Amino acid sequence: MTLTICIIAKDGIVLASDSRESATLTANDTVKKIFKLDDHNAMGIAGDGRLAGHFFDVISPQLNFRGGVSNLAEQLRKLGKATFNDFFSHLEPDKRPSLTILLSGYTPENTPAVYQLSSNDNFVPRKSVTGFDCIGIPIIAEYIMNRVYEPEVSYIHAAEMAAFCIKETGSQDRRVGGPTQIATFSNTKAYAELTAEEVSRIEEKCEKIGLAQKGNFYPEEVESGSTTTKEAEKEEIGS
Amino acid sequence: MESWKLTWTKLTQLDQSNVQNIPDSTPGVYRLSYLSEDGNRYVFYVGQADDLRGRILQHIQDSEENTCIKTYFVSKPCFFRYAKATSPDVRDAAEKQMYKRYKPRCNERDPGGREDIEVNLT
Repeated sequence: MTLTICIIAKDGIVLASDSRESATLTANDTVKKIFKLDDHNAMGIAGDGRLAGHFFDVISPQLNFRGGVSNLAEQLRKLGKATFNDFFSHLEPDKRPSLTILLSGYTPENTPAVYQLSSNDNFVPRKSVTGFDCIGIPIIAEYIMNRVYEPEVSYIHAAEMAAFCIKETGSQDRRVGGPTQIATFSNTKAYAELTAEEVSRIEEKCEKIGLAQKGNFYPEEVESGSTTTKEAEKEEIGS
Repeated sequence: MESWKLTWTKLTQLDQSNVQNIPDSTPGVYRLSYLSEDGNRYVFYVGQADDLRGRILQHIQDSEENTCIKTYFVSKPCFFRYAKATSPDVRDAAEKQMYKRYKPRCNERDPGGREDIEVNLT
């Protein structure tokens, strides 16, 4: 499974995901789930990772970027539907593998936008109205983003938010995990993926942020404790 | 899973004279807390040392490098408590457990430590 998040910041767009592909008994943490379409448009995926990779290879050469992201969304709708119908003409729609896409980029007026498109829904584009979107296993990320997101966030801190959401989800659901992938871009700044070192620094900060308030629920017990010191004692099992 | 019983001292005001009362060369684990406006004391740092007195004294000197600890110490009433533990594994495990429980703001990183050793924190 997956968690892929897209956040519109005041100065750019952040696209991030985990790297895990999980099956009943196995997991692989090397799956790429965010893709550059061009310098100012990108997409992330959730669903069948291998299918997504081929899907991306097939459709991306056919995309025309001149009309901005809303035009791209329409192109993806038509190409997605046609490609899936071609790939899976032998299967009823409800038997087909699932693929969900987060498409992000800029309109010709330089307004950022995020769209969600799903193979379960004929790739009809659904435009985010909150400034962010999450696909895959989104529940925990959506809760966190609803609590912390504001449009004034910078892309640097939006990247931290995205990483935090992915790590928190991974801490609860083992279908999300592996190295976090993060990319940022804007209408003037070209798409760039953060290095492993940069991601690691962000994740260190996330570790500190994570449940930073937990200690507030465990104040010191003033009355407990001894007036003398004593060496630690190993307790026998059952005592 | 190993289980170890620590004898924690009473919560004591963090000042030079109280820290000097810690017996010399006592190894163990400790934690620092501050008095909040709500009347509770919340942990802001956890640690361990071969010599608790020396280590805790360092925290209240001007030369303390952890600016987070310094800020708490100069701005709020602070307290400490400790437990003697000679075994490095027990100390590591206790420090890790305290870190997980209290998420102390002034600890710069997760201390690591065995999770198959369980200790009491109160």
